[in-house]
Amino acid sequence: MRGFQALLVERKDLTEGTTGRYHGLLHSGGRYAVKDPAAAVECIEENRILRRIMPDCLEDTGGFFVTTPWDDPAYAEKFLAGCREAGIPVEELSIGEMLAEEPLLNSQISRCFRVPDAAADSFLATHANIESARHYGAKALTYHEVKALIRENDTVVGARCLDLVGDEEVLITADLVVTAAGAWAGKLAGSVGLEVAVVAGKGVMVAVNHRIVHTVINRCKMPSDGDIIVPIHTVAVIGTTDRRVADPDHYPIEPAEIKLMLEEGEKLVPGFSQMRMLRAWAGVRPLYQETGTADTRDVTRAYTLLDHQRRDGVGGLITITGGKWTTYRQMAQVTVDRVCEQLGVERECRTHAEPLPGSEAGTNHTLGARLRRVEADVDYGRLVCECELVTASQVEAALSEAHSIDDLRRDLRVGMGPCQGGFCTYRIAGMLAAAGRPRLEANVSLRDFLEERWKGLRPVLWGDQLRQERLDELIYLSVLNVDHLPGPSTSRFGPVAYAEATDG
Amino acid sequence: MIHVPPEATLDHCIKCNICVTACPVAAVTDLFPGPKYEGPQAGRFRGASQPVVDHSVDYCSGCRVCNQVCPTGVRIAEINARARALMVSGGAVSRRLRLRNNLVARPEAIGRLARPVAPLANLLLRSRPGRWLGEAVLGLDRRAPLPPYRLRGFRSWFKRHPRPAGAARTVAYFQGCSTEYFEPRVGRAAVAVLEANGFAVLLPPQNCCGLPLLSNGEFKAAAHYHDSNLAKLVGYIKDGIEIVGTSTSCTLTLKEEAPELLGAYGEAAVLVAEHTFDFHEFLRRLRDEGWLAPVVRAVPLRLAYHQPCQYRAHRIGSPATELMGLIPGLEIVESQAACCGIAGTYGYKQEKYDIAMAVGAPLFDFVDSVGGPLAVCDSETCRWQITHGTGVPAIHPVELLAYAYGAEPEGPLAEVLG
Amino acid sequence: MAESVVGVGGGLAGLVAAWRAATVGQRVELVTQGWGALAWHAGTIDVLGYQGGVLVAAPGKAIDDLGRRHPDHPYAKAGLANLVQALAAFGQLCGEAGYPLEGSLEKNWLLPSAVGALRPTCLAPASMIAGDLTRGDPMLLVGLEGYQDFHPELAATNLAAQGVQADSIMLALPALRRRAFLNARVLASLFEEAEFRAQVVAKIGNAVGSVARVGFPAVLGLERATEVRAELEASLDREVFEIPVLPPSIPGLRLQRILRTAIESAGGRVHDGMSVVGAEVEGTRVKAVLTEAAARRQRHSGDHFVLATGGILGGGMVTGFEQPPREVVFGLPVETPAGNGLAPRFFDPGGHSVYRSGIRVDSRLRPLNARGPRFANLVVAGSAIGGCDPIAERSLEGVALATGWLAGGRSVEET
Repeated sequence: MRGFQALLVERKDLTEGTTGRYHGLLHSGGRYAVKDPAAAVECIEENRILRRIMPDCLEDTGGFFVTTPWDDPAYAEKFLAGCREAGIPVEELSIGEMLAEEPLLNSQISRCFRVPDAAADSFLATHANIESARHYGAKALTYHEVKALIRENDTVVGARCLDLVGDEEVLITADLVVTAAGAWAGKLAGSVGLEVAVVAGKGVMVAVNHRIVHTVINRCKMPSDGDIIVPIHTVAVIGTTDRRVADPDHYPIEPAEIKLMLEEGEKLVPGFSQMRMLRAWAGVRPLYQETGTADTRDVTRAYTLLDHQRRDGVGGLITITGGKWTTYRQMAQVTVDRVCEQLGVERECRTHAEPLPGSEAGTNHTLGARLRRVEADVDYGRLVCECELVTASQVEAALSEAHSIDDLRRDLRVGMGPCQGGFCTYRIAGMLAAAGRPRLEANVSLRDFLEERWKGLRPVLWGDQLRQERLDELIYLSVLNVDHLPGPSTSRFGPVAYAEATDG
Repeated sequence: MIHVPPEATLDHCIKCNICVTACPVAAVTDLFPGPKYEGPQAGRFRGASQPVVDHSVDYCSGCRVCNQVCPTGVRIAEINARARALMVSGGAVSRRLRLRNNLVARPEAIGRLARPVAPLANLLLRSRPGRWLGEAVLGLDRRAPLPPYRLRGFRSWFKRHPRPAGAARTVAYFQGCSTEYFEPRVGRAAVAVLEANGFAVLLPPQNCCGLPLLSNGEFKAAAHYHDSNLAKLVGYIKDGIEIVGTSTSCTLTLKEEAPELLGAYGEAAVLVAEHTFDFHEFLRRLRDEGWLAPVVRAVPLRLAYHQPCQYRAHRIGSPATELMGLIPGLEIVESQAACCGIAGTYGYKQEKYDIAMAVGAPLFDFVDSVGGPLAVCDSETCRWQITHGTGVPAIHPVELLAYAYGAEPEGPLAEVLG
Repeated sequence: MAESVVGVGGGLAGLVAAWRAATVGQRVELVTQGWGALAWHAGTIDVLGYQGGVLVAAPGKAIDDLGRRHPDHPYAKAGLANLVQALAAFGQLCGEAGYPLEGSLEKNWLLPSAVGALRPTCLAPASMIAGDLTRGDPMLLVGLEGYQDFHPELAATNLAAQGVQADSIMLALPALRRRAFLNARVLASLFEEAEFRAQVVAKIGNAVGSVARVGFPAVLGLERATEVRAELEASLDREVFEIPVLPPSIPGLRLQRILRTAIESAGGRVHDGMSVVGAEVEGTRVKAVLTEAAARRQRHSGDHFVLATGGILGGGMVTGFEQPPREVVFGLPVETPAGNGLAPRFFDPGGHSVYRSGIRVDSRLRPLNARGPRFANLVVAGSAIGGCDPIAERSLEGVALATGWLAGGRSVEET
């Protein structure tokens, strides 16, 4: 937008990383109102901006902060004061009003406050951003992994990448390199001898099979693990944990973390731990620290912009890291401001003002929007993913861009519903074959996707969901005999498994 | 009693398609994508506080076949019924259709108006201009089987009916709108059978059970009807008197549909539910306890019997078949058909009539193939639909029992037995 | 005096047990929450497809072997003789119903799956066997536009990659466009209409070329399957075969109908929608089971009881967070194999050990606890029995038939 020739390089599919393993929360800032007032202000400011520029990616669920019997009642007043101080709109509800809106909440909750939290679709937001960027001439190379930055003396001049699709090396030269690589920022900087201490803080989230609440529910207490439930599309997600991991590419989902999520969920919604858990996932958040700290939650969540010219005497490189999803736009703004400064130009940021593609109508997404569209659409008989109401035409349109069924999932939500790919995987594999993709691709795509789904199912597989998986096994093993199809059992576009759990 | 809200059961769905395969409506029309789509699947896209987005769920007939075949216990039909109620309260049903629905859903109110002028009302309802008008203005299909009103209702007959002397036990009879306004002979047969078994029958004050309103998503009105019945009936139960009914839909409503759809599990609702019996269920219990009086004559007929889909929803097996099995000479050929199609008020509607007839086609073929002079069925609207689809008159199983116990037959049974 | 048998669970095992008991004069009542895996599976009788990851060519011999090496396997408990009898009887029943099954324990068929893999099975309906992949001659696979649960191109390409010549064609027909929701049930009804079949044959036209056989998704009629296929074969002048697809399984439902009809003809009753919520026991005898009904429980008393509620898929066994599998009707002890329960990969060659959980039974199929048979008049059939993973080894119907047959006859011998 500011007239630079921009090229985005992403090692996998967009949102395959931390951005796609999100909780789904657009913060009001209430969570930080007591602990980190500066972050709270950042959040509410960006909250307002994002509501203006990407309403279609957001569902205006609102949020509750509730004092449960396990929470210090004195915190509530501090919370109120902190919100007011930060300019976060807050109003108290009676418990009767709270239960009228959210009947499943714990009736022993003593206080409830409404704030402007919202649910955010990170997949959609990312696609909207990249669409806008492309509109302004930017290019995006997915499945291009940066193996190392290229440094000539004291200047970073580009990057050496591996094109995963074509399986060849690609060299990119640029006037300026910005690494926005999240928890991998340290690795990239390290490739040219610079030290950037980014700690990978793993967070685990669990999705409940359906929307048990329609409002974001937060515990009114000092922030810690498992204290938020977010309704996002057709599920409700509880999260999260915060465990430091050494390798951002290799970490487990521990049974103790799952147990914690269930126990904490039970406090907000009695009966929670008996409900059907759909899936668990984990992502790593980047926590930058100049010095080492044991508990990553104490590391600041404010973001960090590293101008390596000033910091290390190495030009041509800027690192932006830390932060949270809610403040992504602001992080990008300050980064590009610094880019302008380094390149000696003055160009104003407009991202706070211009609506993203798809959000021109100015209306928020609603839960039933997909159902309404499908009911009105003559194509609704051809639902490829019935759980999430994805039609054959939608899949056909997205097929050419996809390198795996998981890529399609990020675009369309196929396979994200209760059956976790039980029916749509075969259908899409068939469509891949019919579209003339090489046969082995259809076979391995099918296998890869079922493995990818399995990776998030396994940590929470019991009860109804285990029964579901057994039906999926009946289909793919016993009826289709997929495990005896020719071809490799996985491809380079296949899932990266979580590490085996070590505890319990 | 189940207190889990139906929507919570959607978590049990494993998307297996059994319900879709069994659904008689999805088999014949695209307007209804099927129970899986409407219930547990669309259910994840709904919320009480969310804007209404449904359209096709209105084509669910409420036959509950889906519930019967679901291997994991999803309360699909109830999820659909409640989604329809949200459609109605959310303003998604047009004023004209809502007026029409409310009219057909209030047989008692209409009955009270029509009965005093029954001959005129019947003339109008049978006349072509009358039916054309009904269709054009209200969307009541001109072909749908509207039964004739009787000038003299069941309650009025019962008032003059002599109490049996020395009755050992007492039972309360829930007559239902059809017995009162259209087929009082069914009520008379029920009384005869109960009295033959040593019961004194009481007829409590009562009103329409409200099922047609529930089926049309008019929950507020239905709750009013249900509460009114509870107030009238609970006293009997507290006095140790049980309630028996010949209309399967009415008894199902009191037992389960009203509490579950309305979330009404107060003391009176639970008491009435637990002490309401289908007629043959009640007799079967008598038989099991050794109290059932032997029948005194045979019925030398071979007849087709259709167990209504709503009967299966009671989940009590086939007591009617068992009881009819006690009548010498009577050969009952049981239908395997899922549903007659009428589904209460569904098949009367212009936009659903053809679907209803397509759904009922296998049953009509079956009745024709049996070739008996009568068809037997516990539900009144099913009887009218069967006759409409085959021309064969239809009776309630209790009428056969009454005759077997020595009572004078009436109506179609009388004509057949000469 | 005929004794009464109450069966719990309407899957294949429960249906077979009820059928056998009814045909030997017992008064049979089968209660089931809903339909069983017949509605999902291939509609074939899989006896043993893979052992230790290796394809089984001769299931009879392999079972003999299996029984000796794994004495806890349901086949070992029921015995090969029961399997042989059950297969023979069931084959005869289907034949008499006009829906013959072909095959024997001597040799597994290798039939095409909907994805083009080679699927081993022991008995297959006549409607499928022209797809026999050991024949070696080419085939044409036909898909129907708008029907997403069979992709002939994928199947054909995979078959070709495995040395079987197969071509594919997709048919676009007006009748298919008139219905937006094309599922197997709708298609099965369409195929029962002569006009639709004529459209199909006309549309295939010359594409049939010189192949001797044409494969369709398994939707060729529900009630009149044999007639439908005969007419298609006559019109196409080729052999016709069906390929099992994603659920619902029309071939499986055909088998379900045949069994239910047989049970009812023999005076038994099958009740859907009846979920067992409790049992009445007195010492070592089961007196009754209680099913959930509207506003009450329905009591089903009997002299003998058969538990055929399945494993985790059937719902006979439930699991929970950090809770081992639990048997829902009688609370019978469930044996859970040691190990992690769930392997790291979905397609792990060793399967997932949690699915081998089940009830331990004696050779009379009576459930055992630490001291011996818990009940004198209760037997267990089907996937509720532990000691095997019928999906991983492709023995779903074989286990159901062998144990269901024994269970249904067992109650006779009890008298």
